Amino acid sequence: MRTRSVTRTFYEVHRGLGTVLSLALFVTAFSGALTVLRDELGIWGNPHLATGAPPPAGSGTARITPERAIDVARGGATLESFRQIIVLLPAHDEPFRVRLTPREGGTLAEVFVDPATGASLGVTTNRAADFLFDLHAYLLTGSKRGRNVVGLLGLALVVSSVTGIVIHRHRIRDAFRIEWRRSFRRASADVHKAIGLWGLLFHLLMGITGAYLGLKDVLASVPLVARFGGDVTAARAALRDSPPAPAGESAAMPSLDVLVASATSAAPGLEPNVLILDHWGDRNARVTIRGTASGHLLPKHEAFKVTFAATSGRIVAVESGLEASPILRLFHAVAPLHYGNFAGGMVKVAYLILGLTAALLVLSGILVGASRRTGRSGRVPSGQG
Amino acid sequence: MLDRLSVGLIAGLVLATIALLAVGLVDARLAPVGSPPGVPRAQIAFFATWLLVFLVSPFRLPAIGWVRVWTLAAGVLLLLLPLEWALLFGWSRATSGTFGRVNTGLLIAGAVVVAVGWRVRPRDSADRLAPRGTSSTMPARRDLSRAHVATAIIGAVATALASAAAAGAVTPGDPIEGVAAGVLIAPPVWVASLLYGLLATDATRCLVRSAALVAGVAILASLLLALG
Repeated sequence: MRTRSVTRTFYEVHRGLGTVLSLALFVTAFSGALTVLRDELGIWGNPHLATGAPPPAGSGTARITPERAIDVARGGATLESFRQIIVLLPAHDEPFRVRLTPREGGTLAEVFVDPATGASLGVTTNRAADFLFDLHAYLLTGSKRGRNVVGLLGLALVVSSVTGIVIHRHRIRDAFRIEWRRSFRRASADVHKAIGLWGLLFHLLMGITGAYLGLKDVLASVPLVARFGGDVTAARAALRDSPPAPAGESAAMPSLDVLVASATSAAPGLEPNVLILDHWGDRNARVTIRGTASGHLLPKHEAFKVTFAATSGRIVAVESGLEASPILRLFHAVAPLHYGNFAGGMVKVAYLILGLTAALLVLSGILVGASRRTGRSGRVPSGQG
Repeated sequence: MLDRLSVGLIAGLVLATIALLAVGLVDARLAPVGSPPGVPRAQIAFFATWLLVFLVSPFRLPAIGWVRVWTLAAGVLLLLLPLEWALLFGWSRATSGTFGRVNTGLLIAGAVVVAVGWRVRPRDSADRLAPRGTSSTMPARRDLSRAHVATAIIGAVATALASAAAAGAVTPGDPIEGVAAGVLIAPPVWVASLLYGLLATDATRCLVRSAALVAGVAILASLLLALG
């Protein structure tokens, strides 16, 4: 009797979540599946930004320096006019990506530069891939609130998956049988149960990692705000990694390629892919080199961080993802596990297909609910406890 | 009604994504030759398509009928994306590197979606009990044959392409602006002509309507060009 009551409660939770959140879950799941291919869709949608194949090793054809890429990207503007310059180093057949943040506010510009010729390839004109990412991660709100909502949807996916398995636990042996030839409602219900069971682990993984990514700023701020006695501003300032203020005096800057070499020596395993230059050209300039290590579950741009005082070339701080604590390694693994970018293209294709099954799971659930509304009134599925 | 609106919302997102990718390609093609940046044509197409599909879905067909229509439509449009890419950026590049991989993936995805849409057969329990050749559902909501749906979709694609070409041809001034006008007009024309085709009573009449639409667009464009 008690089991029946618990099952009934789980069923109500499952149906209630589906009724209220199914559309939002579908939007997130569908756009999320496509977001796995964000890089590929970005290149496909902007063919003018693609470069040729990289020169073969030992061919003597070197790529241009990051400084040259910055010079090309900023055109005639002076270095002093930019508060921050971010250079994404090219990989495979990708170009340099140089992001310029003006000192006096204004629009952030991202310019692509051919690493072989040093020619400016222009800017991204087709933002379809970024739009899909914004839809998935921010629900097009462009704010942390939107990201938090997506995090809550991740939790809803987890709860919905678990309650679905519990209420159909006695029908698991039939969950792989789909009766296509019977009514559409029956086929939809069979598809819903089969995908829910077959894809359970993946859907739980996406739900949990998505909830963490969406809510991590909230989760991180709670203990910090408590530490600062409820002072939210102080807590935010502590979270922010602010560079030193500019001195207002020009200074000679070291070679970025030399700094990259120093960073890889200081942090074994580092494969640098991002250079962050704060107040580049100023006496107080700071350089942060970020990257990852292939073959490990580490985020693409945040696993390693080597910070330099630019004028002296002295290393200020080193953070290595490979030497992090097990708990931090676990947190580091969340983003690559969620986006499927920790291995090659086949993993991405698998993520795309599995991600689409999540969308299909929601869709079949909607069709089951719709059929139930037009047919019999809602009732607890048979054979459930 | 709620079911058909749900189907419209969800199918609308899928079709809107395809429209986003299709119009985004045109943006990428136009921008290097001086199109004014910042006009979010792809986003306009995305929301317009989503809205149109949502608005059309309450009419004519039961929910499952619309599932089949939109699934087939999504498959056909996915198959057309690589063709659009090749036309805009060159056939030789369409098969190389990342471009080739994505285009191949789109062709495979389109073929799979068309196959799934072709297999969707609405059979309610009442329909199964009904005598062969009859339907228990209301005539106004009766589902359509596969041939009818396929004809309507392909006819709508032809009409949209003809309208886009005509809009491009009759737009005065810079030809690039003409292409942009054509791209913006294609999604609404496609949805409207799809609905017009589905309103026909059978596949043959749907084919006649589609042919008439294409011919009408061509004649109208010719007249406008002659007057201009």
